[in-house]
Amino acid sequence: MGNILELVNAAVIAGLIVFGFYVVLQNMRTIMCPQKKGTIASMGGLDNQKCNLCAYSMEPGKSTIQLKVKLDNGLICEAEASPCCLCMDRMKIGDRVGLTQSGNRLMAQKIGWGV
Amino acid sequence: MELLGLFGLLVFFGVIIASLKEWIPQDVLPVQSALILTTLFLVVIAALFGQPINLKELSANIYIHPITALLAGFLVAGALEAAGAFKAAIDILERLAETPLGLPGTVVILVNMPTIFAMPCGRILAAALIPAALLFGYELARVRETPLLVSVVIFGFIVNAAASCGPSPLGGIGTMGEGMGGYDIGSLANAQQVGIMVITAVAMVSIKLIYRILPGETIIEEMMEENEQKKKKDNNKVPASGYFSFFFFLIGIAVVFITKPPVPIQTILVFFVIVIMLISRVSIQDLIGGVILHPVMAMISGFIIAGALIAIGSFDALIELLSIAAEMELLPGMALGYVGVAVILANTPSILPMPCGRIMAAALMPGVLLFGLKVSEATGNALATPILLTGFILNAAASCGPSPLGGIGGIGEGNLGTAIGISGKPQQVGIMMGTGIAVLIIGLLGFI
Repeated sequence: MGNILELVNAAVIAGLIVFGFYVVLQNMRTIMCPQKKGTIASMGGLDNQKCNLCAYSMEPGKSTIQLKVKLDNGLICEAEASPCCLCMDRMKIGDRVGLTQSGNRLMAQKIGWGV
Repeated sequence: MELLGLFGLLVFFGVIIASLKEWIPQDVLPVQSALILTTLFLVVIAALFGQPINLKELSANIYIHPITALLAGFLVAGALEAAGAFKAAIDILERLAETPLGLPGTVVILVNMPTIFAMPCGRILAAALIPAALLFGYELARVRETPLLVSVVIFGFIVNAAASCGPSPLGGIGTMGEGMGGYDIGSLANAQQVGIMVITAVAMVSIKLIYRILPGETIIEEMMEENEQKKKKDNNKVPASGYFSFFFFLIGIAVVFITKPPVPIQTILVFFVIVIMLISRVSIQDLIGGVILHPVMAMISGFIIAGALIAIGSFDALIELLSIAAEMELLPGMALGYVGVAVILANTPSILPMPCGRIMAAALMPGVLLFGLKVSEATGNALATPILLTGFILNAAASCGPSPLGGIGGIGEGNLGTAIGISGKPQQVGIMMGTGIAVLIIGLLGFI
């Protein structure tokens, strides 16, 4: 029984390490070769705020910020960004973002103009 | 004292201060990236000094357990969000407001909600619950006809969220210190949670009585109007899975802390994720989208620079400098002493607040542990190390609230239309008081 538990614990740790690498690769993919690219048109439902920090999750209980992104082909789509991007990456309206589908979420990440 | 170690220490604090002052533009080079470049610089300098640092030395300080626990914690947070547990929390708060607890009682629970949930990153609940905090804050301010109350509620909630990653069992900063110090998981958490309640209360009282941070004029006008739309309850029903996940998580975590099962926290968290996923029928891809890499990267950058600082002897230099400071007489017969210096060291993260507390926590934790032993020797108090560790961890965790480099406080300031950075001081006052209370608890009551 003890051996099985140890095996499960080891599998969980190994699985989480693999998962960590997968998440990093996904993140790099969003930054370096996103599925779609565009420019942020609005954040948290606001399109004219002076400060990026005015934005908040428009859907109570959701831990991401909703964005509207104007794609390079002119279409507007809805996406989500982590609240860390708002503060630590200083994401704001007009920034270039890369978009990658993850499950039922379209995640946005700041990218440079060169990408 | 080795010259190279001292040099490394000066470069580290130089980069931290230059980032804080924005002499290093954060849009171009965020502090995490600056620390990685600093590591490379120190590696080159060490090689020139004839003390080359190899990759093994550099990576020896990267602890994998806090990283895997943090990843598992984010999966739990993602599963809870997807299941609607945070919506259930808001719904429960709305129901509570109609009980004899009333609006003020509910607000007390709301501002402490981040610490009750104790997610691995405070921003998770800051984003999820800020609409509710704004709603309750507006309502309280309107009923009492005191616009200041909305700032009191919002910034109380914000500093509570910021500090909540300290005692989080889901790979919080506390687990990092508990692991490095060889203490049981969660042994420093209760003292931190009491400290956070004090931080929250002191920050709220100081905003009400001293700093008097008023929301922007348009916000006040909008708030004082009887806004039927705002009062209208959300018609979207919270799914049953939301309530299940909410109670399953809270009860599950409580049981884990009471029974202390001989299983790593990662296994327990993965079990939580599987149960919540099965109940709420969310896929793993849905959860991956919600994993926030910033805190993971912040922690890794801290670990890497700590590895370089250890290799070149910077922590030995730090301990020597702190000992000199402790014994140096500022006035005849008056020295700071080891306890005085320990107080400054524990408060260093909120004096130099980084956008993520994990940066300073991971970078300085080895030095804090070493100095804790020194204080223990000097004072004869066997609990000196966990006392200092608890204070440092809580201070580091909360420091992302007042950080001018995109701290969580900015979210509250943005939403209330106040000047950016204005909430920093009341938060810092609260953090200092709460840190003191948390260390007193460990010192007087031990590991509660």
